[in-house]
Amino acid sequence: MRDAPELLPGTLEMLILKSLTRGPMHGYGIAQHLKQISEDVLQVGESSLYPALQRLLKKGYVGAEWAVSDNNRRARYYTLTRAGQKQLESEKQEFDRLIFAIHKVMQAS
Amino acid sequence: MRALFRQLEYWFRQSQQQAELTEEMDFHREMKIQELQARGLTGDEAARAAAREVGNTTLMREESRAVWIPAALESVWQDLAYAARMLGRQPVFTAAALGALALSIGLNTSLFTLFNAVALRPWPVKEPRSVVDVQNILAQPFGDHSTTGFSLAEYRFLKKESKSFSGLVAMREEEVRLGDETAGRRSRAQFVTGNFFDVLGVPMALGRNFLEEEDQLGNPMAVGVLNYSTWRSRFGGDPGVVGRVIKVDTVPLTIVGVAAAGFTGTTPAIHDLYIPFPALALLRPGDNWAASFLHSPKQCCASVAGRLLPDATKAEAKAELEVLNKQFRDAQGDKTAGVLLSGTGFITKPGAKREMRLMFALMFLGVSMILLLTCANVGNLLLARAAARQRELAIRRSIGASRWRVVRQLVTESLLLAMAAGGLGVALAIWLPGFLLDKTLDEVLSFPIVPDATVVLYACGLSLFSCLIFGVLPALHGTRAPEASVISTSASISPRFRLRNLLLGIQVSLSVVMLVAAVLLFRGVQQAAELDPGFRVRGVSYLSLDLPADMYREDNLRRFSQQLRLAVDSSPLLREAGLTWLVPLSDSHASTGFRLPEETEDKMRPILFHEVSASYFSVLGIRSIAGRSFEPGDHDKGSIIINETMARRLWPGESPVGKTIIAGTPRLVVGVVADAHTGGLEPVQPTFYEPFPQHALPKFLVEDARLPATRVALDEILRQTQPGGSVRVTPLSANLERSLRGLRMGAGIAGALGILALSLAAIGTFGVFSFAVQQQTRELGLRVALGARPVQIVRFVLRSSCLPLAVGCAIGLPGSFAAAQLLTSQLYGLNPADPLTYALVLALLGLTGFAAVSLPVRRALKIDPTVALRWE
Repeated sequence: MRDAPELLPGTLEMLILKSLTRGPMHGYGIAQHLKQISEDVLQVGESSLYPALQRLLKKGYVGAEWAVSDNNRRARYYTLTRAGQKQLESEKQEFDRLIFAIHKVMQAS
Repeated sequence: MRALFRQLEYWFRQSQQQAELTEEMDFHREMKIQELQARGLTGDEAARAAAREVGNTTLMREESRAVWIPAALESVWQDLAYAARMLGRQPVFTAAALGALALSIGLNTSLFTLFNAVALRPWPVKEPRSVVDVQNILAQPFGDHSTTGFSLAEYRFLKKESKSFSGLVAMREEEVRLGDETAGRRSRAQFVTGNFFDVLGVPMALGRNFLEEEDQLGNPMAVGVLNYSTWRSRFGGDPGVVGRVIKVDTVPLTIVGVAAAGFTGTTPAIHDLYIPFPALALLRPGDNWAASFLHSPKQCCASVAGRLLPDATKAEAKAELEVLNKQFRDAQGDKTAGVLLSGTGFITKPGAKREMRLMFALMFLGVSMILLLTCANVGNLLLARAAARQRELAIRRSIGASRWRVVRQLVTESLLLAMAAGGLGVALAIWLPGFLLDKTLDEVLSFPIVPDATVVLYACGLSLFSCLIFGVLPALHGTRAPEASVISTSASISPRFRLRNLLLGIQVSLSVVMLVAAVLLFRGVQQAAELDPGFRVRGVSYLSLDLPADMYREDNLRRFSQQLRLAVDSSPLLREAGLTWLVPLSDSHASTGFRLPEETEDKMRPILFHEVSASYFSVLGIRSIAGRSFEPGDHDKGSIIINETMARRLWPGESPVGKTIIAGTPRLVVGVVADAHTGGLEPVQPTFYEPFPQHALPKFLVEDARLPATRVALDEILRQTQPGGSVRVTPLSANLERSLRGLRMGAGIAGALGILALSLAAIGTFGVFSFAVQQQTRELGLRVALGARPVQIVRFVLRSSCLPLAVGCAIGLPGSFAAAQLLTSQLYGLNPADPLTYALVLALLGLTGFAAVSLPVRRALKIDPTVALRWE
């Protein structure tokens, strides 16, 4: 199996924020979501997921509260805050610009 | 802001956050296991695979935590926790160091609290920085007075003409009788201009400020504003006090307001009541002085203060006021040397300011020495501890800690110690200054002497500074030794040892200085108590008359005084009583200006004078040296009697009897009496005595044998002429006690500081010698094994550490002589070269030194060579 590709720095936070636009999720759910949507390309390790979540909490982009999960277990659910939404918006634009730029460089002969 | 809040929340809920994170991880792992099981793995396999995938949860937790708490901060926290543990593990050392440091920082902070309250704190008014105190500089400085206030007329002129101030106020304090008070201190009223509270920005707690119509000279109204603390203490905080009519000097006065709690007044003494100036005419009816004070351009003095306009500078205001002041004085034909503008504060007179600064400088010198001494001592203790911890430190360094990291650890410990001591010091400063002042002063001060933000800042600075001295040097020193040698405990005299000796030398010299100062002060008190004041104190009392308040009416006073005088002169018993205004040792003086007949006007200089009857000298036992005592008729002739000092200064080698001086009018010297310390225990000043005037109210000095009869006679006179008056008796020795009290307190404090210094030095000496013996145990053992006799061992131990003691003494003695000179300039009666003092100090030091050294030496003598050589 190929190693999961290294993410560009800072993109993990953006991906988490994007995932949360679908509604509150717990950490495991976020990891699963990323994995499914990316068709197993993005395998986010717990060792980077949880610190990233803490960073987002600290910046106030996500909120967290404990709730009961689908299988009746207590889990911490993360939600996108208004500040998180704004941040996602600006990061997305920045990311698009970056990708576009990289793309152009790669296309140039 | 919200980010900070989130951060704080995290800090406070750290352990919960950790638990939540763990729970979250567990959830994650279980979900993973379920997922793997769903794919067909067995429970065990799934659990192992999940654990593998999740990886190092501890690291992850650490990383999550690091998001919130930066690593550097974390390590500082670790250092602090470790430091606290280390300190806790050695409770004796910690208690000793903490106690000594807290005491010295507390002493320093207490003194600073006092200094801050008395000298630095501005008036408790709105925006005190823009308020200035205005004083008139005297063209001819007179005695202690180089500045005065202004006449009310001049104040009104300045207020009308000046453009630099948004408001100018004038005030003057007068003693009054409030209500029917019969005991305790007399109340103080501050007479003020109507704009007083407006200009100073003082709100009212109750009622209202003065109205414009209450500040009209032509239409005086008896109204007053109460001080907040007086309202609380005398009126029980009665909310209905506004509108109440109280009696002030028996005149009914309406309370219109109570000033805000924060306004404690413009002087250290409490002003119970604020009254507009015009009401003075009602409270002192028929008093010529009051009338002239309110109207005459020449009748000094009211204090003046003003609030500068925002765009006016002090210099501009001063220039403007000087022009106006000169203009006003010129019109009066008076001279002036300009005006002085200073910030507000309790002490604004330039002379008093200088004197106070010097006193405080001396005291600060004393407590700073104690602090340095403590730092040296604690530094030495830390050095010893660093030596004991050599192995620990060496191991830390050999497993990779940088020297800087180890130093940081050691300094953190010192800092923790210093800050804890600083906290305790501030606690001491809350209590100590108030306690001491309570013991020394007769009355309550208007302002609280408690530490404020400035003081806390000062204590922090002091703690940091002391940490720098006692902590950083030993830390640098303690980590300097190469690791290998330390781990193998070979010890001889190391550089660390030299630092210890240096610190010991400093301690010894400082304690010599402190001890000499303390003993000198003690001797000073002793001498003052034994001082022959030049007059009889024991067995003499004075009687004074308490009269109803309408005695301020000059005609009443004159009438009564004359009746009294007639009665006194016709009674053989009362003629034997010494009449005077100024009771000996009452700390008050009367002075006037004088010159010799052949000198010009501008040679006028101040001199003390006493108005007394002939019996004054006989009752007090003041010897006549030449000439005669007073006789009837001397008052009209302008006869005076002078004291020896005045005779010696003015007419050295000549007989003064028959000479003349000009003090207002020509005065003829008819006699000379021996010097007497009637003014206080300071050196005797040139003084002249003049006959007690007919129209003034005397106090009666009598020997105790005649006291009952005199009292009866005075009571009888009062009953006939002044019903409502009463006689009060005070022994002179009470005054002596009061004069000595300040000195005793000073000596007590100095003594306590001296003993503290001595004990600190003793502990230091003991520490150094013990350490020397411990360090040299092997060598001593070797010497004993090779047959050294006990004397040689003692000599060996002493040799290494006696030098700092000797050098310390050698530096301390001249230092203490200089300190003694300084002290003598401030306190009368001390002899800076008092041989007994130095002998006593050396004996004390010798004894303490002996005690401090003998224990380690005895331990050295008991060293068993077989044990010592196996030391390792």
